[in-house]
Amino acid sequence: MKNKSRVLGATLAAGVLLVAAACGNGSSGGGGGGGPADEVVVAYSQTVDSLDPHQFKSDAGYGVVGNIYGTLLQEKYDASKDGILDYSGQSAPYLAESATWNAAKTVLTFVLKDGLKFGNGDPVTSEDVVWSLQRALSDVGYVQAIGQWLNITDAKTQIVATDDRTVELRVTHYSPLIEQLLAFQIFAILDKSAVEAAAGADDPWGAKFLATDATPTGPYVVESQIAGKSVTLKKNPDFTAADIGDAPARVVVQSMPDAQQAFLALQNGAVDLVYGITPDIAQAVQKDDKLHLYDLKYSTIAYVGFNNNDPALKDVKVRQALSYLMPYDALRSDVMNGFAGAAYGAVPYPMQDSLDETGDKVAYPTDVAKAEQLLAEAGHENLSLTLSVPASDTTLSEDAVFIQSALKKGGVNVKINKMSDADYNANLGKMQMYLDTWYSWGQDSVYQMFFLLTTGTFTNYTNFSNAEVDDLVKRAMATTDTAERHELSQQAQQIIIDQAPWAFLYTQDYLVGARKGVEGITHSNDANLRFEQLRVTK
Amino acid sequence: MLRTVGKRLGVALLSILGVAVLTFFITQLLPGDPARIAAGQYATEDQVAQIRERYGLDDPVPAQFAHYLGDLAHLDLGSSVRNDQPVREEITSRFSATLELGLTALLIAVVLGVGLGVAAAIYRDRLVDRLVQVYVVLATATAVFWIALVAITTLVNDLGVFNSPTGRLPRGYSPPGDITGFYVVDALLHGDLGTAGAALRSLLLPALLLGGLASASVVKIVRSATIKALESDYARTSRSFGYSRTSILFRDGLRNSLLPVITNVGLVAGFVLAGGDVIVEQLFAWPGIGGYAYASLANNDLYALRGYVIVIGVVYVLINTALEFLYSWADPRVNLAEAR
Repeated sequence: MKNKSRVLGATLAAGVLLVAAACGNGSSGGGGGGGPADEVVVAYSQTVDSLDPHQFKSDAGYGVVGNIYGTLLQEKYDASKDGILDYSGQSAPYLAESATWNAAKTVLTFVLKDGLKFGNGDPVTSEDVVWSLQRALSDVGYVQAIGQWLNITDAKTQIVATDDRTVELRVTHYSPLIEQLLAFQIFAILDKSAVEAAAGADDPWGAKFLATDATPTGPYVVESQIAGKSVTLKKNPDFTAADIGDAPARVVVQSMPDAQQAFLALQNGAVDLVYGITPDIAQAVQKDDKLHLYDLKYSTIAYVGFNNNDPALKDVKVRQALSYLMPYDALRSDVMNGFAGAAYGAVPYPMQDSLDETGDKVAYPTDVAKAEQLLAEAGHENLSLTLSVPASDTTLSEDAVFIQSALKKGGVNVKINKMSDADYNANLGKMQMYLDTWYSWGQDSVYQMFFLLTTGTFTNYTNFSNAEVDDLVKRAMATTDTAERHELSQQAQQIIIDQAPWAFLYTQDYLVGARKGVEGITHSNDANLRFEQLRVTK
Repeated sequence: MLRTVGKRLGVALLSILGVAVLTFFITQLLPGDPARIAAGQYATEDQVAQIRERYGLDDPVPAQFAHYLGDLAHLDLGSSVRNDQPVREEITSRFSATLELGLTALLIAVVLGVGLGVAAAIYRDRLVDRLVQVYVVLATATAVFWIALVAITTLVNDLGVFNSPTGRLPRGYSPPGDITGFYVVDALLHGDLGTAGAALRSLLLPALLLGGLASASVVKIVRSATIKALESDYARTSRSFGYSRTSILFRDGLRNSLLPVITNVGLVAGFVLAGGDVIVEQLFAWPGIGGYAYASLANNDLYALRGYVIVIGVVYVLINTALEFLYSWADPRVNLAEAR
C-alpha cells in the first residue's frame, strides 16, 4: 500500500511537470515564432555591470545608459537607408530647446525644453544640468579625462545656471568637438536631488546609488532587472523631448556570453538582434536567409604597438621593418573575413581629417625584402620579440598567430604571450609588443592622436615621443579655425606614419546580426544603438 | 550523538576556514591590477590609485589578510571592484539560479547513474552493458561546449523541444513571485502552469547536459558495486532461499552498493555546482554564480572571486558533512560516534 502511494505520488508529480512543460511552449523562442512587434530583444556578450554614466562599463552597460538618459544635444541621423541610420555629422538639440554660441564663440547657451521631467516625475531644471556636467568633470569616474575637450578648466565657475531653464558653458575657446561630445551619454542629465539624497560623506557623487539605480531623462526607463541576465526597458511615459510614438514599447537587453549560442538564439527568434558579433558569426548570419547582417564601417583600429623604450624597437628602422612584414591582406581576409578596411596610419578612414579619403591606402605594404634590408641597416637581423595579446579577444589572438608566421619570413622570431584581461591591462605601457584595438568616440583625429601618441599621456602605451607631433596636436587643440586644425592634424598624421610607432593593421567593422524585419540600426558616432530608432516587423 | 554532531560541525568550520585562507593567498598570486580594469582605459594613474586605496589593494598583504578575515567573521565578502556592489548581495541574487540548475543536474546524474549502473550490472557483458560502457566513455570524453552546441542546434533550433539558451525563462515570460528562488517550483506554487512549463523547458537542457556528463562516474561506481554485491555470499544465500531477482537486486545489490555511491555524489555535487556549472552557465546564459565567477576571474575582481570560492567551498563542505551523516544511516557498521 505504501509503495503504491509513492508510485501514485511520483506519477502525479511527473504528470504535473509534463503538463507544465507543454503549457510552457507558448511564446518560447524554441518555436522560432519571433516576439511581438513592439518588443525587441537585443543580445550583448556581457552583462549590464553599471548604470552610472560616468563609470567605465561593458558594451551592454553603455547600451542601456545611452537609452535611459537624455543629453542636451543628440546626434542627428540621415534618413534610413537599408535599415541603417547614418550619423549626419551634426548635433541637434535634445533636452535643450536651443543651443546658441555667442559671437566670440566662448559661451554656449542652452535653454531647456519646457516641461521636461525625470522618471520620478520631478522637473528637470538648469541646476540638475549644471550638477550633472560638474559630476562628469569630477574625479568620480573616467569622464574627467575626456571632459578637458569641452575647454572648461574650472567646472564650478564655467558651467553656470542663469535661470531655471538656462545654462551657460563658458569655454576657454571654441572647438568643433564640444557639441559632438555633449551628445554623448557621458554628459547625461541626472537628477541632482535624488542622487544627493542617496549620497554619503564617503560617496559625495552618489556612485553606489547610480551604479544600480537610474534617474532617467531619456526615452526609456528600467522596468526590471535580473542579475547576470537581463535588463528590461520600457518607454518613458514622461519623456517629451522627442516623439517616440513609433519606438518599441519594450527593449530587453539580454546577456549572451557565448557567441555561438547567441547566433543560434537569433536563428530561432529568441533574440532579435546580436550586437557586436565576430567575423565568423557574421559570415554565418550572411548565409541565413532569415537573418540580416548590418556591416557598419568604423575607424576602430587594430594595431601592433611597439614599445618605443625597448632597446631594439626604439630604432625607427626596426619598427618600419616590422611594419613591412605584417600580413595585412591575410588579416583582413582570413581573420576578419573581409569585414575590415585598410588602416593608413593612426587616423584611419573614415575618421575625420584622415590622410586616407577612400579607405584603400596602406602605409607599409607587405614587403619582406624591404624589411630585411631595413633590419640589416639597423643591425637586427636575428630579432626575437614577445607579442602580448588579451586572450579574451579571439580575433586578436588569431591575428597574433598570422603575425608570428609572417614575421618569421623576415627572420624575426615572435613569442606570443596570451594574457588575462586584468594582466594585460595592468601591463599596458610595459609590454614589448602588444596587439590592441582602439575606437575614439567622435572619430576625431586630434583627439585620437592626443590620447594615443603624445608624450606622457597615460594612454600612450607605446611611450612614443615626438616633439613635432606634440606641438602640432597642441596647436590643433588650441585653434578655432577648422581648416587650420585639419592641416595641423594631417601634418602630425604623416610624421606618425613615418615614425611607425605602431603597425597599423586594419580597421574593424562593427557587425550587428539581426533577424529580418529589424531596422533602424544607428551608425552612431559612439557606436551605440538608439533603441527608440529601432523598428520591428513580425 | 550531540557531541558527534558538534565535532563534525567543528571540522566543517575548520575546513571552511582553510578554504578562506587558501582563497586569499591564491587570489593574491593572480596577475593583473583589478583597479586598472575597473577604472577603464581613460583613467589617470591618480584615479587608479584612488580605487586601490578605496579597496585597500595597496595595503600590505598582512593588513589585507587581517581585514579580510575580520570582514569574513561578519559575513562581509567586500565589494566588487567592477561595480562597487556588495559581493554577498551579488552572489545571493544569483545563487538560486545556480542551485536550481545544480540540484536538477545532480538529480539527473544520480537517477541516470544508478539506473544505467544497475542495468549494466544485471546485463553484465551483454549488449546493454556494452552500450552503457560506450555512454560512459562518451560522457567522460566529450567537451561540454561541443555537446551543448550540437544539442541546441538539434533539440532547440531543429526540433523545438527545449527553449533557446537565453537563461531561466524565454522571451515573453516574467519571473514568478519569489518563494523558494526556484522558478519551476515557485511558478507551480503560484499555480502558473505556463511559466512553470517555460521554466522547465529552459532548465532541462542545461541540466540534462550537466547531469548527463556528471553521471558517468556514478554509472561506473554503481555498476562495479552492484556486481560485487550480487556476487556476494549473502546474495547467493538469498537466491538459494528462492527470493525473486528484483528483491535480491534492491535488498542485497542496491542497498549494499549505496555507500560508494554516496561518496561519489559528494564529488558529483562539487562538479555540477562549481566545475561544469561555470561553463554551462556561460553557454546557456544562465544567470547564476558561475557566470559571475567567470567575469570576476577575467577582470581579476578579487573580492568577487574570493566570495565565489568561499560560497562554493561552504556548500561543498556542508554537502560532505551531510553525506557523512548519511553514511551511518545507509550502513549501520559506520559509527560516527566512534570515528576519530
